[in-house]
Amino acid sequence: MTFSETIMLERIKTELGPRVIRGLLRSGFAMESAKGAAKWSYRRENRAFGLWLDFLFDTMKRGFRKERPVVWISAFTPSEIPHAFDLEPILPEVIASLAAHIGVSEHTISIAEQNLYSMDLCSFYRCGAGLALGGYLPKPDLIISTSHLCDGAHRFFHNMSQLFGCDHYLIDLPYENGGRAHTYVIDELNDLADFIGKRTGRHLDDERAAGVLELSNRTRGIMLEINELRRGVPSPLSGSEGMSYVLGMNFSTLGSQLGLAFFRALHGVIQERVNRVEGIIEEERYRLLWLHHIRPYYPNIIFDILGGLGAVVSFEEANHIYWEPMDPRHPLEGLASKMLSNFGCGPIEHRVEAILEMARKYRVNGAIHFSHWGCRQSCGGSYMIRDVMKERGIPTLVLDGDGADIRNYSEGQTRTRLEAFIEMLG
Amino acid sequence: MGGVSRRSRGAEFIRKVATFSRIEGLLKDPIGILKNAHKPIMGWLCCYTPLEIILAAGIAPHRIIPEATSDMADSYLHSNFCPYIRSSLGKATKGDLDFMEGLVLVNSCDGLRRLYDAWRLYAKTPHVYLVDLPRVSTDVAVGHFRETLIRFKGQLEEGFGVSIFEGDIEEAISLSNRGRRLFKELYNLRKAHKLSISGSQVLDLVKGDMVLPKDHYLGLLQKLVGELRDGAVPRTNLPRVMITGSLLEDPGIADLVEKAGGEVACDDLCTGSRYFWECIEQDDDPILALSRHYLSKIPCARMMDSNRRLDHVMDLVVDFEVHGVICYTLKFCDTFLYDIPLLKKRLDDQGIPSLFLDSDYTPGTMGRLKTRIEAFLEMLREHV
Repeated sequence: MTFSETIMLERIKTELGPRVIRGLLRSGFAMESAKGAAKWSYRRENRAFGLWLDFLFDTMKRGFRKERPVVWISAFTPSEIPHAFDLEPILPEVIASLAAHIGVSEHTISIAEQNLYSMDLCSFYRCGAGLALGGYLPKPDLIISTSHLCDGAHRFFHNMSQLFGCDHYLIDLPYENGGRAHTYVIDELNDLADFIGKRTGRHLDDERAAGVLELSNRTRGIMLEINELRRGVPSPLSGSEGMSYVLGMNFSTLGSQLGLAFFRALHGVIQERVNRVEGIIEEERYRLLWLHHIRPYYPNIIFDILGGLGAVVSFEEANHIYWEPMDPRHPLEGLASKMLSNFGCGPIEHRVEAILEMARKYRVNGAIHFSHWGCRQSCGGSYMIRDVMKERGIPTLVLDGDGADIRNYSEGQTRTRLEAFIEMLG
Repeated sequence: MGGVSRRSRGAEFIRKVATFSRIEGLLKDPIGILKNAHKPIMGWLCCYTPLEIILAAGIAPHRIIPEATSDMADSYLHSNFCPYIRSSLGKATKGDLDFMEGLVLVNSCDGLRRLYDAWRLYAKTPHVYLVDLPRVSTDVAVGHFRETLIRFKGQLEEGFGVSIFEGDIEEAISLSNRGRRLFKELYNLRKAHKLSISGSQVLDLVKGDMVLPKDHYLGLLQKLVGELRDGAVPRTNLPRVMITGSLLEDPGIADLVEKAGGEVACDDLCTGSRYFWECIEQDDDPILALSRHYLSKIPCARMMDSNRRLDHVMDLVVDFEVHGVICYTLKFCDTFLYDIPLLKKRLDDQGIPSLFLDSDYTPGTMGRLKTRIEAFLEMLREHV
């Protein structure tokens, strides 16, 4: 955590109680002021980071003001859908990671647990439930989620639809592509378009949808270029950043002008670093691949420990571009293909194949599989991935932890395991 | 505590009914009985498994029993994983399931998806299949699932060198429905307070249908149900408990409830009523009939419309005159864990006391559960 982040965190903890935070969230003026304060606090951060702050505060402000219908979507619901219908997308999972970052997830998780959300459930969803129950999020007019990659997503969003008394559409994704899977998802997306139209009065406009997909494709192209730049030595972007605001924008803004602007800005930042041969740490001795879509977002020293040992997370599977460009003339077909091509769908071999390709491309010395407590789909494959990677000569550490619940984080144990792993890399 | 427990009267009854004793005997060695049937054996775990297609292939389906084992596959699956899944893989890697020529899993939860991966990597079962299962029951989903079932039929035909004809599936559906009707009759006898065996004994009978050769077992069950029809007994004044949740391990908490002086009035469990509650409606296209049936049956918490399950639970509470509900889930069973806040609210709104329990099959779990169940029944007795 940077110095400015530490100051910001302490200020929020000591000066702002939950009640004040709720008031801030609901006040447009206060939200603008908070955005100004945040941008000042983070003024040393890069241009892309500034755009992320703009996005975050503006989305929340518009959402609380109900400037347009608010739709809650799960992280793997293509953000092109709300952008095509001109809806305000809110992603509770992304906001939960932010809540952990600024130190309020302990509070929101406790709200959820008091309301019978088990400690064994994913902490991002517990945190999301607490944010919802505590009134920290704009109320949804409708909810859209998909069934990939995990069970938790569709069940969490179902419960939220019950809480807010709004309708929930689940895009039920088949186990894997092939056969009639693609047609099945296209049929569902047609049905979803009717669902959105009936509830918001906003119908799918071919021209607008084509524009959204074109924007998404252009952004995808820039993301691919960014990923190419990240092959450079020394690593120009830390996996820690890759899994925070970069991933948040990946989930939220594809198909929007802001998304395009963000990834262009990020490309510029990384290109400058590459030109200056500027890495994340002074002496990069080990390059690592981070497995799982998340990292711990509360204050922790994992990346500091790695940096101190000369190791850097050069890439993370979360930002792997797995989908092909979509045909703007056939938006539903393109979106169905995008979802079905997710390498987390289907048998574990799909994920293993993608990971091995990333390991080769980014020339990593090893991999860390972050086993987030509460995540069955990813942790369930962690030992299999470790065993296959070992056969291929890529040492892999299964690091137990939690992305949003600091109670499941042990600094001493984490340090011991990371030190032993890096030592083993030689 | 007043009255004589259904359990003790059940024990007395069993002494008189030879059929029940015979079934109990069979349940002591279901694998031995299966082997004597000289058919290939196919293991299964989830009650969305289309057993009728397996039966139509001339294969004997056998549910892997949920129970604690000495090997919980800790080297292969993370510890924050469903204990049923870990124990099943543990048995397989230890060689305890080598009698199975095949295994069919359903894409019903994250756990089973990963089990499909781990089983292929670490166990030796020759044929391992995964049947994809939609989470919604729309017409489009029914059509999609029908295609999936046709593919599964083809896989069985290829893997086991058999041909499955429509008539075979129709026959299997008839056989399956025969069991469903018999179990429903047993539950209706319970509802009418006319069943002289206990809830845990009924669950044992359901288990029999899951683990033994079906055609042989149903003959015995039919005989037993006939004998039980005449076993009308007076009502007890014991607290009537419903158990809802994922599935009960063997031995399960139904036994604990009865030992603590309660009566298991009914259940909503994968190892209980959800296995058989509705009959399969026949259709000219038997695979379409199966597709419709499995997507519209009383849902597991993994389905999109979990409200339908909760409606069903609340209906059972009324129909079976339940005093209290025990919600029992396996630890790390996310889909059922998400139902808890919703179920609790519904039960509270109706003034039905509830107890929420989980288990991870670790030693000492049953002791912990026993204490909590005893306290719950103590509280319920004040309401009866």
